[in-house]
Amino acid sequence: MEAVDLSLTIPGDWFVNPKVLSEFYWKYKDHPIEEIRKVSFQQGLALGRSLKEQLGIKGDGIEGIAAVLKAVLKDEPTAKVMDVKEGRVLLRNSGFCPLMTACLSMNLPWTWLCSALGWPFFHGLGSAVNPKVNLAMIKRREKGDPYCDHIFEIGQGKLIIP
Amino acid sequence: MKGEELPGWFLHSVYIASYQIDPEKETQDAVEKLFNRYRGTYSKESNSLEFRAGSVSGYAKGLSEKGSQVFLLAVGSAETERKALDSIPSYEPYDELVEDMKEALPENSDSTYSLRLAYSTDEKEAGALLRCYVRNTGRTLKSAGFVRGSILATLGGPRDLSSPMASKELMTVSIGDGLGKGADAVWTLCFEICCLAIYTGQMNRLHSQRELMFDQTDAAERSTQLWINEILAKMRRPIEEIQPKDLEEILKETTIQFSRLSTMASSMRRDYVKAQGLLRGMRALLKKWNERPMDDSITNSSAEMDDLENLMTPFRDFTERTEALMTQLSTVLDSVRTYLGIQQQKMSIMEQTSSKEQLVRLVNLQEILHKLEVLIVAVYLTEMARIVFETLLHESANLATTAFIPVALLTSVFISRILHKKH
Repeated sequence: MEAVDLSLTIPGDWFVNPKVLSEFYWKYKDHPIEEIRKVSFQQGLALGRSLKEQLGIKGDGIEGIAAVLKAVLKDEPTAKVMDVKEGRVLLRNSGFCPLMTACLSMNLPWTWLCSALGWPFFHGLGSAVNPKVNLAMIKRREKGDPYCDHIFEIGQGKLIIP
Repeated sequence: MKGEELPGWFLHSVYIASYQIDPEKETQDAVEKLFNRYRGTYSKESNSLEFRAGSVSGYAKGLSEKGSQVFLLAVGSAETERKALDSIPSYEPYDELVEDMKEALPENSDSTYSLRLAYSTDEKEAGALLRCYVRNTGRTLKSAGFVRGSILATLGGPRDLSSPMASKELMTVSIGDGLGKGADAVWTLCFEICCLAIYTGQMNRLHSQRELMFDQTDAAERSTQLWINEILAKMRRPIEEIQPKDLEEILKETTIQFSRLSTMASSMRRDYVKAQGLLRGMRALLKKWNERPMDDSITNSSAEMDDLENLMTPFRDFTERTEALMTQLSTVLDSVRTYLGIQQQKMSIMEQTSSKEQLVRLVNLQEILHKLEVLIVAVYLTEMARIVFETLLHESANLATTAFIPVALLTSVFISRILHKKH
């Protein structure tokens, strides 16, 4: 198996871009998922850093993480930052999300793309503000929950998929 | 199979598995793997293998059709070793070999059929054998009928899997001595089940690829409905309270949701059309069976068609539900457009009122200017007259100038009227 290409650049609006999602899947589908997650995390980290600079975010608090997430998802009606308090940010994704739409139209595996690209990318975004942020995916639609809750909390910088 | 010599021994246990062909992956063919293991007579051209393992005979064949690959593993015994007619043989040695052969097959099959065969002299005895087998194995009879000179039954019961289409167990009791045409009919039936496995496999794959979407329909629909309700609540506010910026945002989000639902509905309809194609293919195949029902059991053909149609239903339901949401979103879009139209009209009326006021101000200004113009011309004429009077009349020049003022004013009014008449 060839080494994972780390030079890939994913546009910030990949989640509404079926072509990018399709290319990503066909490029990485046979690679170990942990390797692909690293690529996705790096992509999120790079975009997060650039947004942090653009938005003039100072410090490493959760408000900064929420601001970066809101900036990335500003035009997305199905993903909203629901809560920013007590040291955590709750990003909820529900309804007919763009990934669900792209996967259905392009015949791509929804669960794989969320797990390999979506969650690590958003973890990277949060890590741009605070490298110690954990992203816990407690509620996930792939396991039957009615929505995906992305919970960002300062911890050990881990992506937690229980 | 046309032009291919099929084994002459009696079939007892058959396993059929179908897979989707991945054009990107080149793997060693399962039949070739089996040849490396059991040796025997292997034909690369027809992708088939016949071999013996002790007293048991084996046969394997790989078929590729309609983007699917199907493997048939058949095990049986030679006529001399065949147990007496009208009895259920012990399947243990045959099942053991089938299980062993299955190891050569790829993983993750789309559909499988396990088939056991027995032989009987007449219909009545065949029915009795089947009932005996069902009772002894603790199974239930899901469907049964007469197909190609055999009783074919689909078994249900404790070993039922969650997906009824993914894995099926069949029992066949061939009526007759199982020789000549009878043997051909059994093999034909096996190959027809291979075709059936292709259709059910493709349908299973299509359904399993969309299963998560089907599971999420309720939640996604509820969430979208709540969002629509929120938007409609916003739209019910007095028109003065809704800012054009809010309308713009609602319009943008509604357009995104609408286009997304449209993509989902059309993609799911595409899959539904694919499923309909599979249903048509399967109907044509099962029609050839011309299956006759056994007692009051549902026929295998009907049961297979029902199972496939049940798998198709979620595709149609999903499309209809997303289209229903699209209808609601169309209403939202229409409301937003109406509100935007009213806002635009209001702005246009306001602009018109403002222009009218401006026009009145301009007319007033013009009138003032005209009056000033008359005065300026009169002053100018009086000044000119004063110069003339000073030259001609010397001492009475001032008196003459004063007397000239009304003349100058009248002349000025006259000149002004002549000039403005031209415009």
